Amino acid sequence: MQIEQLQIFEIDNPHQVSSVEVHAQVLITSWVVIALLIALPVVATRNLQTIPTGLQNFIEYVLEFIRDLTRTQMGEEEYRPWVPFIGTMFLSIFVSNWSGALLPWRVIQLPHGELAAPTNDINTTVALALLTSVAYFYAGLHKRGFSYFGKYIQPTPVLLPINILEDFTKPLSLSFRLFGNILADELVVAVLVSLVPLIVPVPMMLLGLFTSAIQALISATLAAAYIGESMEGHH
Amino acid sequence: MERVVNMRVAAPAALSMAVIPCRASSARSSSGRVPAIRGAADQKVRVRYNCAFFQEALQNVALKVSQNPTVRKAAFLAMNTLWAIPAIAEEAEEKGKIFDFNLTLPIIVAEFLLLMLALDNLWFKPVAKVMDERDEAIRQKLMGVRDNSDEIKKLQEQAEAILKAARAETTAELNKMRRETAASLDAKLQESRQRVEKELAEALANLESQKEETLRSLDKQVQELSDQIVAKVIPF
Repeated sequence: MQIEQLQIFEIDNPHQVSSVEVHAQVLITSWVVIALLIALPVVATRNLQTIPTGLQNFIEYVLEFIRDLTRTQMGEEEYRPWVPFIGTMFLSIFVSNWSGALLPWRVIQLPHGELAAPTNDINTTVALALLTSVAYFYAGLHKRGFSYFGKYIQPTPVLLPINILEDFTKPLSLSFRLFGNILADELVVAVLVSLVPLIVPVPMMLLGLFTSAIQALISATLAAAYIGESMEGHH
Repeated sequence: MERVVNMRVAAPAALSMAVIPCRASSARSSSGRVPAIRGAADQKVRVRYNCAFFQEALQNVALKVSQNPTVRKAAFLAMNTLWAIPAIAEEAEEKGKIFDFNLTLPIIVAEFLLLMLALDNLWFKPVAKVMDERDEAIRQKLMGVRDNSDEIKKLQEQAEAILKAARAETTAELNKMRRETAASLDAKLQESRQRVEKELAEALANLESQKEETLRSLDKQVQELSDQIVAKVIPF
């Protein structure tokens, strides 16, 4: 995988140049994903009717799915405010992964670098995982105040180091799960295509579609589960 | 991720190998075609090498050098140092790392939050409103239907009561009518019977009187006849 890099130079002092880099291909593909995700509801909510048809049916189904997902993890009383967060998490990961698999990014030749799913970059997945971490911390503190920190010594204080470690492993596992799945799938498909371009990669591509959809679901479900768990605490 | 080390691998085929990554990978490490965005004067200029130019140079050198072994080794060493120079000069770009954290991360965070706001206002809120309104309307209708069934039962009972009353009324009426007609029939029967009896009695009376009359006349005739007979029988 090549990375197209834009170098932005910040001059601190004459003897030192620090450069801040940006992976532009990730930004480009993420803008496409955002455009898709915004165009869909804009088109579909133009004429909302009581008896839905077509596109409105579809977006209602998606919202129902997300609500159900959130409600299952967080309980009936408190799930409402978190639907946008979990929904955006699910939809952005899902559309990112499927755009990487389905859209013909290779048609656009970049000078150096390649366009692919935005989630095959460690920055994207770590960003999402950190957002989830911040979200569940915020949820816990908002709901329970400083007694939220009591969860570290439950069920027994012996587990304190493990509970602290959990705060680091949760975002780590979230990010790596998504990153590894998407990147590995893309690499395998790329290698297969370079070897036997005709029919052989197709089952791998279909598997890739399936697993990337599952990964989106898992990321969203785990995010909701962590938030729900930190809100209710261990009982 | 392609490691920069690949470029610097010392091998007899390093010359040709050095060319291939350049071509196939569309120039990673030393092929910076993006011009530096400069801020002020007096800064280190990062040198960007053009990959294509490098390739041609390498090929020429390779051709010339491949014949002579010592020259080949020297060229090989020179190649390596040549490849190393850009790496020394541009450390930042020689990232073959898989964990390449940079400004992209906060940008993605910002994009996600903005997307969340946008989707919430464009998608989740309007669609949720329509769905909730629909649920409410359905629930109202269901409640209404449940009440109506009680009313229906009441109405049914009322209807049955009315029917029963009506039936009773009609039978009563019918009976009354029947009795009345029977009574009138009876009356008429009586009347006609009386008439008939009267007429009968009259006729009988008539007959009686006629009989009497006839008897009387007969008596008279008998008297006459007997007188005649006597007259005839007794001569004088």
